[in-house]
Amino acid sequence: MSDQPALILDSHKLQYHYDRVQAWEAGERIAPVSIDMALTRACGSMCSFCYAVLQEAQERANITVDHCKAFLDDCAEIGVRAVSLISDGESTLSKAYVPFIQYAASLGIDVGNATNGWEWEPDKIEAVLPHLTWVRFTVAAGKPESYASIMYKGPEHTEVFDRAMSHIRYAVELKRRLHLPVTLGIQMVLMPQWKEEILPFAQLALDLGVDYGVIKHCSDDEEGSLGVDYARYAETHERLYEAEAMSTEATKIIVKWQKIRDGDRPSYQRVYGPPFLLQISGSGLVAPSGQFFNARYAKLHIGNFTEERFIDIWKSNRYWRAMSYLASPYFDARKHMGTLPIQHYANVALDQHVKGIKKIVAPPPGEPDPLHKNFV
Amino acid sequence: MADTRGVFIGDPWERIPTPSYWVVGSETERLLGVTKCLEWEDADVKVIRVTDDATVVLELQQELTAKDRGTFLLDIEAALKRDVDEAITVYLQPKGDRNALRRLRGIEVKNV
Repeated sequence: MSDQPALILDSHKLQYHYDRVQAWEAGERIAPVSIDMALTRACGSMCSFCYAVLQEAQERANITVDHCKAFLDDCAEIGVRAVSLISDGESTLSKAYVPFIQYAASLGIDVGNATNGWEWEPDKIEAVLPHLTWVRFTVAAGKPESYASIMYKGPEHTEVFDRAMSHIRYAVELKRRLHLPVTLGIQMVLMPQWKEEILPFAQLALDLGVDYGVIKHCSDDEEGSLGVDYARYAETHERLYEAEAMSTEATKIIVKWQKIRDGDRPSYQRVYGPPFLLQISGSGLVAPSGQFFNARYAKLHIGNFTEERFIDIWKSNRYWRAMSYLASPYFDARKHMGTLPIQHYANVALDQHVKGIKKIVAPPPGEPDPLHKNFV
Repeated sequence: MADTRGVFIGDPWERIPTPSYWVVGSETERLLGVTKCLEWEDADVKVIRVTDDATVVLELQQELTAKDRGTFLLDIEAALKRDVDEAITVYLQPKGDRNALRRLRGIEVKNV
């Protein structure tokens, strides 16, 4: 992969959207560079690290194909550059999944997808893979029994592991056969007590032949509902270094060190990232960050794109009031939200930029773009 | 003319307000202050609890759409900051996951 563009997973890519940074700083209403969303709140997994457990809003809407097409038309009109199907549900379960990806691609919007891969059969893979920029499979552990314990009902249910691996292998083979530009990776959401799963996970990434295996922290809410013990991540560092050293030319093993080290103590108080990277729930709810989806944070609920057009939500004063609230002295990320939101890297970079600690600057002319630059 | 202002970025070093009136008053006085303000604002909400760190947990007495509830609650918080204590932060009661399978894990959303 040495001749390939850089794959940035442990940082932000705001410098490649410097026009938006300048406009934001000038007080203009900017379109999100990327939107992270789900097409449903449903999921067949029961991962013990799953933040979606904490993200129930007041209502759940059924997101239809028509909703999706209108949403994507609005995204194209205002200048959204990428959409990732991750958020708080398993989007492959939605009837809108295939049409969403195909229609987004036809509009020139990049699409990425994180999935458990369980309901991602060959016909679905063939329909979407040529239109996707990347796919990241949630693989909680490298050993089938551990995988089934963490992601499903217990160690005896290894059929879910076998199913996921068969679909991932099919995607790897299809990518090679059709020379598709899509990046395929697997991701382990690490809790400190699972450190013995790190090396088998890295070995699995190599065996599958995916482009990368990434290991990241586990987010938790500000009350610690998931019980993540951030102080214990230091116990995992040795294994993580060993895993990184297993990288090959074909498969990189990447650790999201910045998030693992930052843990539950962000360097910032204000949250400036959401105007650049917005999140939308599988319930249709639009909120600045997924960490505000729960009914508890209703003051930061902005609208629901199944009830009104997304472009009208984005243009509304309530959208910009919520964004400004997070950028005000009334909001403290260390107290008022969970740990390590998806905007964490952007939040750190923009906070340092605004404070003059480290300015975001446009890349020098001629510098090659990294992979997936529209996913900030 | 339509408002086209984006995010207002003020002094990034300005400190978050800390409770003032809140820390010297008794729990009864805090509750009274909050209740009076909400009555004055004619807000159709019930106070569930007030905490030592200026958190006010409310319950909506009417169903509001996603379009309306954010503005409604930010207005209430602004009034409480203005009339009672600038450090007040408003929340609603959390909702638990409706996904039956995920619920089998037994994880519950803890209250503030």
